[in-house]
Amino acid sequence: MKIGESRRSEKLVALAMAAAVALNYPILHLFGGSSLVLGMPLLYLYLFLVWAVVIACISWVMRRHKLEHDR
Amino acid sequence: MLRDWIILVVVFSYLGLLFAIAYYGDKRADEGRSIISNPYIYALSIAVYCTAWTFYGSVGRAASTGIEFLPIYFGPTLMMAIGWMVLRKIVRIAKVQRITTIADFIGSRYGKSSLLGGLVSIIAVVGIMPYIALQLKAVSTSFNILHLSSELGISSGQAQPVFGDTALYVALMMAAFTILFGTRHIDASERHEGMVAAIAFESLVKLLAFLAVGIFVTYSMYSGPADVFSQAAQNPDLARLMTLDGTTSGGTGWLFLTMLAMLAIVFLPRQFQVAVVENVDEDHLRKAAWLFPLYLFIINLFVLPVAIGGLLRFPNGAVDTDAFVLALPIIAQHDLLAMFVFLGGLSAATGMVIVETIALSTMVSNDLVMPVLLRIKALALPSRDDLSGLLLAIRRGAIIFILFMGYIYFRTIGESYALVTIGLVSFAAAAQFAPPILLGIYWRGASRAGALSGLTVGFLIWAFTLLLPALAKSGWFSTDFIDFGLFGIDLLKPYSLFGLSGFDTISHSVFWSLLLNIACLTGVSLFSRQSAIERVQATVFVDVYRQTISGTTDLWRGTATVSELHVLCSRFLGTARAEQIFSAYAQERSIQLYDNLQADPILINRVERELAGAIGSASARVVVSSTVKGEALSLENVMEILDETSQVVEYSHRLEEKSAELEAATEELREANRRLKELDQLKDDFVFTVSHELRTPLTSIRALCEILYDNPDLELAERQEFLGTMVKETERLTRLVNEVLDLARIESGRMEWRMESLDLRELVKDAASAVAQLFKERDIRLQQDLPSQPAIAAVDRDRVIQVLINLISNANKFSEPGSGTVKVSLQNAGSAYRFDVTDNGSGIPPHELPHIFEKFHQVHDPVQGRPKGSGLGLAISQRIIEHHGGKIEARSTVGQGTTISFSVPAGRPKDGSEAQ
Repeated sequence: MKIGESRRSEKLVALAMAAAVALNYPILHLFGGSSLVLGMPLLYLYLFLVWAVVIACISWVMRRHKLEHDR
Repeated sequence: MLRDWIILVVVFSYLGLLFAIAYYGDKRADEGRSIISNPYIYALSIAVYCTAWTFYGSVGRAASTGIEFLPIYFGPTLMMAIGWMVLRKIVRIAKVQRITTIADFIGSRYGKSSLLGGLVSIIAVVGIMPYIALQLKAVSTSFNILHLSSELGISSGQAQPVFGDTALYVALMMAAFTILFGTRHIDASERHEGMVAAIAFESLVKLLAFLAVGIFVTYSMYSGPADVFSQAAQNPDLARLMTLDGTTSGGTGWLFLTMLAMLAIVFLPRQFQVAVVENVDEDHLRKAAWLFPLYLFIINLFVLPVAIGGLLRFPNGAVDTDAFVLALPIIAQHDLLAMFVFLGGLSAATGMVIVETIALSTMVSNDLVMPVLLRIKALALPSRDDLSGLLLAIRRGAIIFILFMGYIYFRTIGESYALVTIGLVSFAAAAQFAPPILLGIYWRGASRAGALSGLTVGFLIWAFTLLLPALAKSGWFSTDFIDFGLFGIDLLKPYSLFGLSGFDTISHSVFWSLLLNIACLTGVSLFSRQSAIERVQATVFVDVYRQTISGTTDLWRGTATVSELHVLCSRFLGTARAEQIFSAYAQERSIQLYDNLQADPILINRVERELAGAIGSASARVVVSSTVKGEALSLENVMEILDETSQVVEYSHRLEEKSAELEAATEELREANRRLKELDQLKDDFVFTVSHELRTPLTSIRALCEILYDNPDLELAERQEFLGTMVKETERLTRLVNEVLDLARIESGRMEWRMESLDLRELVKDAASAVAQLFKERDIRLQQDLPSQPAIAAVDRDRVIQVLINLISNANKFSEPGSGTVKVSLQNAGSAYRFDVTDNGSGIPPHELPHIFEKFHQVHDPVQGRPKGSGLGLAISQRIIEHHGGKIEARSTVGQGTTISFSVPAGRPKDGSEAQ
């Protein structure tokens, strides 16, 4: 339990750091162009995509632990 | 076209619905069937983060800077990701300590300091007031847009007469709502379930309203997002918004916005209220950690399409960009949707105002007014009969005061500033609370003095770089100091403080204020001493997971009777609540509480915590210590306790050291004992060997004597032979005894040494002549190889000759008669003279070689199989040579012979014991 707890914290910190990098300059420059992808601006698409992935990851890290906890 | 009365009816019906929901929520809570105790309501209530600023302002921001509205929502997502560590700890602490507000949290962490709590309250009120004004402005503006929808071209920011201003009535309704549902309990740390239910409902309404307008604009006014974006791509001004070119603040500004929003989601007073104080179950954080970011994600999906759609529809600034959300349905003649959007905006605004007002009013009453009233001796407040009424009155007064101030602010300067900037100004103020809290819950060393100086400096810089310029721009005073610096000093320009330029104003202010805030907090903490109660509280906060709820670290050493405490509780909490607390306590510990019973520290502690929930931790401490006789947790007492603890620690540390020393000593003793035993064994062996060596000749002498005694008529020749043998055996005995004596003398240091300078060649010659007879008898040759120069050294003549004779006769013994040759050589080897005695005998086996100098070690002749000699000669020789400061060693090859070499130093020996 204790070990799972600290492992989860480590994952969350890593996730937050990765998200902070992905959602900031200079990575944004890579997607700052004016092209439209699927009718959407590349930057807009990229930011919302990353955001969705981050949210999904948070829910995954949080949920998995519940299973362990219930066992 | 919407008529005014219809709008008003809808507005007040909606607010009436809120009252109903809140009422229902409270009713269910009273029945013990909470409707808010699930992570979904919790996440929705945290979404109070999205105010009218989000609802209207995001689109406005997107219309001017493109995607730069997003960092405001990325920050909270990041914070919720690590919220499981940070936010959960704060929630746990708040529950254990019955924390009511962020001011209480900081005050309590730093030694229950009312000064610090008061400072935080002032910062919060000053920093958040514009934000409340902003919400009222949004309500007022949106109402006007709806009201003037036929005249959309006219600027929305027209002044209204006070009594015709919707914002005033909304503010009054909010005050009523907050008083009704925000001050139901005297205990502010208790949850306001009805209020939370209403807030969650409002979050749902604003989300649906925004989605509705987003979908309407994107799919009805245009044919999908691709259409919106492709139309925008035609126009270079709009295409700019879809790339990074639209953003104004660059990488640094983006980063600072993200960080600011990260802090805001926890440290804005209203966020602290819903996320920490109103939290029902820590575990709800687990789901809310992704539900709330998901909410933000959804509400932001259509921001950019709506902004671009608005710009396409209203080019050339015909309509304020902040009003696009409302103006687009109106222009499309969609009244119902416009009404719904207006309600969404109203939800966003009222939700924020309600929660913010509860949080601020609790701060103002518990951390500003109460501490002052309690300190005014003339009022003798703690001894009044019933204070719960007064307490509620103060809190209600604070609510009215805050909303009134917000309204005044809105009426006087709210018109002059864009929505977005005001929100960020408040974020920057709330960010000042981050260092004392975040450092405070992880670092025990953070001190009250540090927090006080850090907050003061941060607040002053914030005020100078953001608040004052905003006030000046609103026309309150001259803007000269913005352009030319304070007092005309160039380095004191509020937008480029100390000459730092190249930042946007928000990043600039956040950088300086947080930097100096953190620097003061850490610097002063490192160089100041914490008082006892600070240390206690620091430990309680930092180690919150290690403690039980009872909080036994808080120590009262004073005395008070149960009845005194009961009276105190009744005064502040009302009789019913006091009765409840005391009977619950009595039941838990299964004891009877008599009036005159001395209250134990646990009861005193519990009373303090209950009071803290009502009046804040700092005030509760003051009140309880006024009743508890004897110093309530005097500093000396705590120091004593801490000292006692540290003494015990020190003592046990020393004990450990002692026992380690003892162990080492024991080990030494054991070793010594082992060596003693070994020596004892050696001595036994020695005695045994000596006795054995003595017995052999004695036995033979005795046998011969008996033969002579029993046979008096023995032949003369035979008799002569027996007597000769006896003489030899006695000589052997004498030699053995002499050797043993020599060895004993040398080993005990009682040997007398007669050191004199001699020519070593003479010694060799003397030794050779002494053994010449022996060699002649066995027909072995003895060669001498001596240097031509005299070899002078200081030695004991007799002893060195003894060594030489011993070695030469040994060599003789091991040589074969006839072919045997023994060679004695002497040579100068620099600082020493070296003797070599070499034979060509059978040699010594390699495994015996290391032992030949040991006592009684007898080399077994491989041919004859019988040892020759006592086994003491070489041992004695070795000791003699060593006494002279020389070395003795043996080399041997089996079958070819043995060389034993020894050296004596040239000149005088180290030992000064000359002949006496």
